[in-house]
Order: sequence, then C-alpha cells, then structure tokens
Amino acid sequence: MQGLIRRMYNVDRRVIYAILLLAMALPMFFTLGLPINIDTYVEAAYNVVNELPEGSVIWIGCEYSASQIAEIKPMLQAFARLALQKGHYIYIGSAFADGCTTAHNWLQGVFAETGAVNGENYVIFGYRPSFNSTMEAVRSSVVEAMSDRDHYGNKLSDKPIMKHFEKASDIDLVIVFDSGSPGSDDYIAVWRSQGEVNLMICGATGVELPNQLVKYDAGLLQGVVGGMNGAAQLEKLVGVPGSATKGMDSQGLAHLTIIAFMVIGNIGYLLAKKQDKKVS
Amino acid sequence: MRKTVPIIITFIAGAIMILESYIQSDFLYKFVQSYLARAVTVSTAWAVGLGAVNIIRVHGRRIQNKRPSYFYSIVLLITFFWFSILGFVMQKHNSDVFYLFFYDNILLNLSATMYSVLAFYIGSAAYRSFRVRSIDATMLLLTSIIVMLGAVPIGQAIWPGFPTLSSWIGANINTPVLRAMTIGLTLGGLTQSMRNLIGIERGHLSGGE
Amino acid sequence: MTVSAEFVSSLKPLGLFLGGLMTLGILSILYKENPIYRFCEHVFVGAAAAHGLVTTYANTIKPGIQVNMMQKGQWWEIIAIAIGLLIYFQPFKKYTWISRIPMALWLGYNAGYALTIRTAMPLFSNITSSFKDMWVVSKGSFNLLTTFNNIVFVVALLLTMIYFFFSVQLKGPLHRVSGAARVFMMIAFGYSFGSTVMSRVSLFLGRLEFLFMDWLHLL
Repeated sequence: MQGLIRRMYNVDRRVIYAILLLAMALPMFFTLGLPINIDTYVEAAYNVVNELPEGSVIWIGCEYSASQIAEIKPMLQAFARLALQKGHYIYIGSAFADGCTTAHNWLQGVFAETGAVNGENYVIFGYRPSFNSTMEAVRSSVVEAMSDRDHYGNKLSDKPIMKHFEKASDIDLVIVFDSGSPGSDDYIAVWRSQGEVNLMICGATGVELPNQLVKYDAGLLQGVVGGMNGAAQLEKLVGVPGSATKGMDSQGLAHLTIIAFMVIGNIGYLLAKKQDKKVS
Repeated sequence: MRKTVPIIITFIAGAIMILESYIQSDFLYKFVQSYLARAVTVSTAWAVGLGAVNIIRVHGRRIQNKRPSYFYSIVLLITFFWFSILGFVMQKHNSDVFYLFFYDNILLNLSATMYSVLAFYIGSAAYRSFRVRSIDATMLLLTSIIVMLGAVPIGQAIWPGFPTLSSWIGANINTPVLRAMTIGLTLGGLTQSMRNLIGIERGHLSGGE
Repeated sequence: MTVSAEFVSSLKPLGLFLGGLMTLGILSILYKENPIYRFCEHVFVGAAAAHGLVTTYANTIKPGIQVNMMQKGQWWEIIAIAIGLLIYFQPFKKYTWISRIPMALWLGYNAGYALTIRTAMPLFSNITSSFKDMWVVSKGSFNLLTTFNNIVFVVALLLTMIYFFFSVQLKGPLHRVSGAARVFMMIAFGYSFGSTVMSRVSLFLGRLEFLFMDWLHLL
C-alpha cells in the first residue's frame, strides 16, 4: 500500500509525457464535435469588426513570434477574412521580426479566397524594430514613418490604398495580436491615449488573456479573443471552422489528463501525509 | 564626464518628450515626430547587429579555443551566415521564395516546436508542485481546474456551469487583482522613469572603465 | 539575385521532410538531452538571429538610406546612424562608456514617453472603471447578481492594493486583511495558470497538426 501511495506522487515524467501525447494525438483521429460556448468578450470583438461601415481602415498589429502559430494563425485568418469580405482596408504592421513574414504566409489563402489585391485591399508594412518611435511617427505620416516602403520593398505612396490612410487618426479600428511586449499596452499608450484611435480589439495568446480582460473591463479594449479557445469561438462566429475548432477536442482531453495527474498527485500526497502522521 | 554626458542626454531627450506633451507647439510636435522619434527608430535599427556581433564573438572564440561541444558552435555560425547571406543577397527577401523556403521549413518549425515542449513541462510541473498544503494552495488548484474545464467543450459537457463559473472568476476576481497590480506597477514605472530622467538611477551606466 | 519559383517548388517535399526532422529533433529533449536536440537548438539560434538582422536591414535600414537620405535628402539621419553605431563599442571594456550614449537616448525617450498622457490615460481608465455601483437597480428593481459581483470586485481590488502597500507594516486587523487578499490573489493566479495551460497545450497541438497532416499525411 505504501509503495502504491509513493508511486502515486512519484510518477516518472516520461510516463506523464507519453500519456499527455496520447491524449492530444488520439482526438485528432476521432473527433467528438462538442458544441463551443461563446464568451461575451469574443462576441464583442466579432461585432466590432462586423458592424464597421464598409471601407473602414483597419490596422492589424502582428505582435507575435512564429511559435504562436496554433493560437494566432486562426484568429488572424478569421479577422482578415471577415474584414476583407466586409470591404474594409487592412494595413499590417509589426514590431516582431516574424510578424509580417508569417502574416504574408498565413494570409495568402485568405487573400486568394476574398480576391484581395496587394495595394488595393491590403498592404503589409513590414517589421520596424523600435515600436514606440515608429508608431509615434505614424501619428503625423504613415508613409514617412515607414520610409515609403512596404514589406516587399515596393513604394507605398504609389499604392491606391494609401489614400485612405495618411496618419493614425484615419484608423477606424486597431486589431492587435498580443503575445507580450510590445502589445496592446503600447498601442493604447501611443494611439488610444492621444485620441488617434477609438476602437481597439485584441487577439491574445492564452497567457496574455487575463491581462487583456483587465483592459476590456476598463473600456480600453472593445473585445478580446484569447487563446485557441477564443480562436475556435471566433471561427464559429465567422462561420468558417478551421484549425482552432479541430483542436478543441485534443485540448479538452489534454486538460482532463493534466487535471487527473494533479488529482492523483494530491491523493498520494494526502495519503502519505496521513500515514506519516500515524507512524509518528 | 563619462557618466555625466549620458545623464544629460537622457534628461534632454526626456524633457523634450514631456514638453511636447504639455505645451501646444507645432515646432515641438514636428521635432518629436520627424526628428526625435525617427532618430530613435534609426539608431535602434543600426544597433540590432550587436546581438549578431556577440554571437559571432562568443561562438567564434569557442571554435578557436576548441572548447567542448564546439561542433555546435560551427553549426550555429554556418546557419547564421547562410540565412544572412540569403537575406542580404536575395532581392526583396521578404517575398523571395528561396529565402521563404528556408524560413518556413526550418526556422518556423524550430521556433514553434521549441515553445511547444512547454505543454509537457507544464503538465509535469502541475503534477509535481500543486499540493493542497494550505487554503491558498487549495484555492489555486481548484480555480485552475475550473478554468481548464471551462475553456474546453468537454468541460461544458461534464457540467454546463464550468464556462460560466470560469468567466465569473475572470471578470470578478482575476480582473480586480490584476488591475490592482497594474496600478501599482504603473505608479512604480512612473517613479522609475522620473528617477532615470533626473539621473538618480545609474545602473545602466555601470560596467567598463 | 533570385532563384526560380519552379525550382523552389520542386524542393517542397525536401523542405517538408527537413521540417519534420527538425520538429522531431527538438521533441527528442522530452526523452533526455541528446546531440540531435543540441544540433537543432543551435540551428534555431543561428537562424533566428540572422532573420532578425536581415528583416531589420530590409525594412528599416535599406529604405532609410535609399528613400529618406538619397531621395528625400534627409542627411541629418547620418547623426542617428552614428549614434546607433556607438553601441558596438560595448564589447570593448576600455570603450564601453561610449556605448552608453545611444542607451541614454533610448532611455530618455522612453522615460519621457512614460511621464505623459501615454501612461496616465490607461492608468486613469483603470482607476475610474474600478468605481462600481455597490447597489445596482436595473429596470426599476434591485439587481442582486450585479450588486454581488461589483462588491466582490471592489473588495478584491482593495484587498490586493492593501496587500502591496509596503509603506506601513500590516499588523493586527490589517494582517488578517492580507490573509484574505492572498486567497483572492491565489484564485487570480489559478485563473492565469489555467489560461497558461491552455496556451501551452495549443502550441503543441499546432505541431501535431503539422506532423500528422503535412508531414505524414495521416489526416
């Protein structure tokens, strides 16, 4: 009995890894298809984009690194698809080296699907290393701030889409994909606080979600989509299920596995504690 | 002088930013937008190479002195130079398919996988460290279980109340606690900024001769 | 200089194969530390450092020289470039003090930046939105749920602020208050932990999708 108790809270980490791997892998082959519950802040984010008048200027801040692909990619695709379908103009910038490179990769399918043309419906500005100073410069002229060059080295001032967006106050909505710093805090500090932008929503990684909810409650953000769960909810609202929706079954089983191990560990701990008390 | 000049530069740059915010002046606004902000952007961009210089120095030294496992330093530098050459030589590397071939298949996969192993580490860490030793630890454990179940459809299938309870905790306990911390951190940040500006804080000036 | 798209297209299976190998190489750390993992780790560091460098050059340095300086005649940017280049004195002990000059500029800019409305507005928004109604009446009748939520919100906020008030020692009744604050904080940290688990698990799910769908074509 004592051996069993000690084994309960001393399971080898590789056994945990193997069981966790199975829990995540198996649902990929046998889907459960359980319904997804929509949170109010995700619905609010969707409504903000959905209710914008046609031809609105949307800045998309790709402030994440390539490692966040599983959480950010479905959100980015869902928002870009919705915005382009509604006839909005999207402008993509980033203070992360991976941000615009991954946006270029991940959105090619969405651009083809919606018939969006570079320079007419969307533009990718590219990576700028110093966030605060670049965004500060956008307040007076975006073309000057970006040195009149886009992500591909083409002239910005030649693009027809740039007539809708000369400076920060022309932006109708900012969508920030936040994975840390710089993130929504910086957009709020540079643009929101100085009255350049009134609407801002955030697509955050799961780690950042609790922090973004604080800003949502304060009215600094008008909607938040958090983690793969949030991305799945957004895909449901947009009506195009993607990788986030497919991943929810695996996510659920993985959570249950981790909870099971936590419970087993604690049962073992409490039983061992009880036994030690009896002996002493 | 070696410490005084940086302190003066810090003060002048900060003072201009503060004055621009509090004085309605076209000259100050234009100066900050067109000159100061641009100077910070340009100087930061040219300074990015410092990381590369340090990588080459550290690993170059390791290869030169044939330290243990110097083979990996050779691998690192070969990869670094390969990507750099491709990036600098290829025209418009951001859309060049050859550069993106290496970016998509090597860097993207490595980057994503490096962070993905955290899923296993967090599971193992939760199993080993979450013990019901006190009321505080029990509340932490119970809340994390509720939130983990509330975030997934399986949790809702087990009990429909999990998502509601999780949202309630997020809105009415998580938000005020993090807000209190944010307020404290912001006030601390303001104090620290003031200390940096007037030269009381000199930690960044230490080192070297 | 460029390489034809057709040639790169023909390399796609090789690229996928390499990507899968790299992924498995990193995942091998879960069993134990091994040379394959070390190899993949060093490839990652080298590639990531280079990518940051070339992207900065392509998006900021090159347009800065070609457009701002040569086309628009903004030659004053040479001063900014010179300031940025001073950072490269940092590795040399005798001249490290020179590298403090660009750092001083960035520090001053960001410190001044913080002491303006840019930091004040979010702070004030956070403070003002914390003043919740403690007796909520909606559509003519008392709303118990919202009132309860608001009371819990304000209590949690005040307790946490008291807990972090270090100017006065928390003795007597204040000490009990700090105990209550700790419970609320643990609940908040539990929420953060739950969100973090969701985030980390989904990172790996992305990798599984790549391995099963793109690499092994099992899905």
